[in-house]
Amino acid sequence: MSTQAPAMVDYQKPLDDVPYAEQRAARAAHHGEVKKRLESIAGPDRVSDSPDILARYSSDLSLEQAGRPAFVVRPQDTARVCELVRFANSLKMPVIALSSGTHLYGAGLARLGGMVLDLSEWKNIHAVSQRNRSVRIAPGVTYDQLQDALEPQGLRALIPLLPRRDQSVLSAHLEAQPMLIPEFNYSEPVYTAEIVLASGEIFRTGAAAVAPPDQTANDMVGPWGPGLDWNRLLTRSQGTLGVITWANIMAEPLPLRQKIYFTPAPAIEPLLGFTSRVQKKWLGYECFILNRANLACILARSPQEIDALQQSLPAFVQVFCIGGLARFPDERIAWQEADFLETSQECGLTPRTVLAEFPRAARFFEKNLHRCFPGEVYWKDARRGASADIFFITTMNRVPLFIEEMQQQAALAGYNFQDIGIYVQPIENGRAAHLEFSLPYNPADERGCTRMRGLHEAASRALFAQGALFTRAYGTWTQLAHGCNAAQQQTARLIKELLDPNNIMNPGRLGL
Amino acid sequence: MSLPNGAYEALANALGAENVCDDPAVTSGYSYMWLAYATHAQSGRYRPAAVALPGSTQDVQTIILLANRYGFNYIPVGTNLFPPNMPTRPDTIIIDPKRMNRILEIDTESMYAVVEPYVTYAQLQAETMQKGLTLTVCEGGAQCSVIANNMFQGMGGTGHKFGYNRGILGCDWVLPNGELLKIGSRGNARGDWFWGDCAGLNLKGLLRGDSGHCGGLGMVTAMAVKLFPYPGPKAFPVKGANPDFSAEFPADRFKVNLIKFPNREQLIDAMYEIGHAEIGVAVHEEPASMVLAGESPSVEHFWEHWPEFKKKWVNVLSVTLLGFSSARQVAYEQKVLDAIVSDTGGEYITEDSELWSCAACNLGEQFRTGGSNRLFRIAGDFFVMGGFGFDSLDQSLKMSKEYMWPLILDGIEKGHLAPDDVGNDWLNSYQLGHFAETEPLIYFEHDLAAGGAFMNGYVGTIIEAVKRKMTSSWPLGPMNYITGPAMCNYHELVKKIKSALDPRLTSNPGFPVPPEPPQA
Ligand SMILES: Cc1cc2nc3c(=O)[nH]c(=O)nc-3n(C[C@H](O)[C@H](O)[C@H](O)COP(=O)(O)OP(=O)(O)OC[C@H]3O[C@@H](n4cnc5c(N)ncnc54)[C@H](O)[C@@H]3O)c2cc1C
Repeated sequence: MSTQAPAMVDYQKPLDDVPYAEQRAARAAHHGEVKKRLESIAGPDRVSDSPDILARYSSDLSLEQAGRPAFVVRPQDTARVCELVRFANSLKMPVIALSSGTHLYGAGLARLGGMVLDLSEWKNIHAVSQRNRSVRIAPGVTYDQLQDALEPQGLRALIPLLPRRDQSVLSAHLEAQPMLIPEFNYSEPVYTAEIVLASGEIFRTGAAAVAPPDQTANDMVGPWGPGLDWNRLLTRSQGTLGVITWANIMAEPLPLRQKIYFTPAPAIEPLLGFTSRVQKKWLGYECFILNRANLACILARSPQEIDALQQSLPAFVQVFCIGGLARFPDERIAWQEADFLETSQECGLTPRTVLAEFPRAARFFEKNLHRCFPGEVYWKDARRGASADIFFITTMNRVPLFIEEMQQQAALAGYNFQDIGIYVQPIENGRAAHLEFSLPYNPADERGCTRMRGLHEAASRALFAQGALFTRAYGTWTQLAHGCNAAQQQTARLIKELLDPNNIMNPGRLGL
Repeated sequence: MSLPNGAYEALANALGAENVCDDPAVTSGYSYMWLAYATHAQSGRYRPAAVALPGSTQDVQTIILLANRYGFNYIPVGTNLFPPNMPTRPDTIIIDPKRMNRILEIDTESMYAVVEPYVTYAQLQAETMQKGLTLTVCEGGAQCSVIANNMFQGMGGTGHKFGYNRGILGCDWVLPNGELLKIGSRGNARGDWFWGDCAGLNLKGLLRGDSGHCGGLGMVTAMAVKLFPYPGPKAFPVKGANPDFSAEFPADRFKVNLIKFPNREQLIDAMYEIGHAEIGVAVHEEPASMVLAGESPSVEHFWEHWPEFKKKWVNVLSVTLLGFSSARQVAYEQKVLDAIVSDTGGEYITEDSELWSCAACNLGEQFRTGGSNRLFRIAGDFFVMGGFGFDSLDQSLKMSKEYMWPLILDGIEKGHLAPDDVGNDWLNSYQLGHFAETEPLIYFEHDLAAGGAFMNGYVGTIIEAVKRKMTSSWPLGPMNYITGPAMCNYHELVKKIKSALDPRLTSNPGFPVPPEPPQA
């Protein structure tokens, strides 16, 4: 037994001898001082703490817990970002950088308060190099804006499936969203980037490290180093290591002509086998599989049309696009088409250039494969107003097992499995697959939201137990993943502490 | 050179006496290094205190825990080709994974293989080819460890299509504190191997960047590496014996083209066009010395033929086409290549010419390399005068011309380097020409003076690059103190990471960055 006497407590003496009114005044004064300093750095019209603006940043389209920032700052340039971060560091104030207009998975919510740095107005496309197939972009550059700039130069950016119009290209790349083209050589499409570290210092990755863009003598496309692999550390780091102020990314040759095939099937298995074979033959560009629920949401002209359309569509469809580049475009399409069709025969499938059940699909994808979703209501929101997504990486051959698990989880929760969108995106020529379930729900229905939260969490847990690899670790997925990889989390903490000793960069994300 | 009291016994007890050795007859074998700053003249001076042969991940953990307990250093190696493997401090043991030479799995569906550290490219590729898969074999030679090379360079003949520094999937990595860190999908609920990224910070980023940590952050004990489709024969189709051999692949699926250009600028233009057209699996500028060394049966043969050969073999690009899908692919790509060659002013070296016969093994070399070993024969030592600095194709040429070749010519003039003044490099396109690197090959005597001159030249290329704000040759260990201050002080961050993960600096102590700058 300890011989130490417990500390004496003087119950008479108030712990808090500063009057409450004074405390409140001091708090307000502090807030005012911080605001003043932020304004002096960023400019008075660039700092906001008005309740309606803060409220806008307090929640997003996810089911994650809300988090209200103390300030929203819209800095104009990198020098100011550095100063803001230095100042935040001196106060241990969290810094949450945002680049997109709409936020989806809770990663940009200020769980511990602090300052949101909204970079979505940074719309500069700094430089396009046709020769090196690169484009250097600011964080706020969006897909349609970028494609408009690249297409005249015979280039295109890599793009996820029909993103939102305000999706930042830079975040899509840094979050490693799956791109529609599984070509191995397009994977890891960030060449170099600039990041403001928690210290307020600027760091540049790869071949950009040697000098700022206006002084460098090189082309900034070498992605590795200096020293260690900073690009890999930064990818999917959800702003926990710093604020990325630009990235030089791959811009790929824009096909002069393209031919799109739809391969329908009553079950996913034959399409998975077919897709794997096609991918191993290194054929085509865009290649992915959608179920009828997703296709209906994408193709319906209005939300009312979705259910009827869904009934008429095949259970699963592989969308496959062949492109003809500048040299002999038709011949390129011709040989790939011949090999593609030959493979389909081996698999007993019949690709068609027109989706018989919905002929307009061909025109839609022809027009929009490289573009943001054109509809007024985003396709994932069309059915119920919002969608809770569960996505992870697995191998092509294990996709059916996860679909079965999802079906069971939906049944357990009394949720209509037919409403769940399924999207399979092969990665790196079919070495792996991104599998995404989209679960529509009505965000205005509080009880429905609670039920969805329960289903989302239970399904995530069950899928994780089956081997789902949540590489983009949002919300509870972080805890799931770290639960069985403690050394990863301990080591990640060490690295985080080195780079951000006060843990100001989006604290709490990734379990850091 | 001896270990702290008790350490040797602890190692012997843990691993078995037959798996630890401090006999100088054995340890001397680990003190030889071909690069000049520690040549054979110094053999013995850098002898390790002992060599330990682990048989499993657990054994490696034990060795590292003992190193921490008793306070000795260790260097994990693969097949031991590279300079960072030389102990430069006393109390250092080599962890030699000779017993860890198993291929644990080949997954044909998800295209990966899981290997232990002593599995070589030749060993693995022989198995994967049986299953219709291959991987990019490093040009350092197919005798290299797959794990070591993926962590250090991983630059292979077919990097134009199969990439560079993208080969690593799931890994088991024993950290300097003895903990086992599982990288990528190894950390998921099933401990899968198929993917290299995980939830949370992607610690694969610490495994390597440009030159990797060189054993300075513990030891990887198993790694899944990417495999790629391969439509060729199940056994490597070699005919003849080194150096008089050729590899005959089915002509409808494999096609080598050798193309001569009037100058390097046009050659680079062609490389760009090939990248933009997305054709080919291997695209390299091939220097004359490399080709002649590859086919010379003796040193004498090389030097006898060199004066004439170097005049004929100038600005040659080698382009290998591969029909992954069918013969149609090769036919189409050949047509595109013909158009590019015509547009950029190239001229094919025809198969009936004398030059073609010199490069007969070229196709085989792209898939399974043995060439670099033959390069040592010309003068005793060989390396590159700077290189590996990854950026664009244009940059590679600029680096080569602006500061690498002037340094080489200076070395030749001073008599340190063999007289190869042709001015072509081994310049390589990676990932469909998205990036590139160049390696100006140099040959020198196996002595300290020539080696010293090479070393100064190599460091010179780094100094010049930084001065010009260009991509630098890879800095190793202490050289990071030249590049670091010019590149966002990355060396300070790397040093911090080293001391956080390896506070006692026991894991190959001077790497990835030594704690102090070298003495002037
Ligand atoms: C002449 C020459 C030409 C070369 N050309 C090329 C080329 O074109 N392309 C290319 O890719 N490479 C090239 N290399 C580099 C060479 O192939 C690589 O260094 C390769 O790693 C050597 O394989 P190894 O098995 O001998 O590794 P080692 O030399 O034994 O090890 C290399 C480094 O990795 C560390 N290491 C080894 N195993 C482990 C492990 N399990 N865990 C942690 N650290 C470890 C070691 O400490 C060492 O620092 C060349 C080398 C030479 C000498």
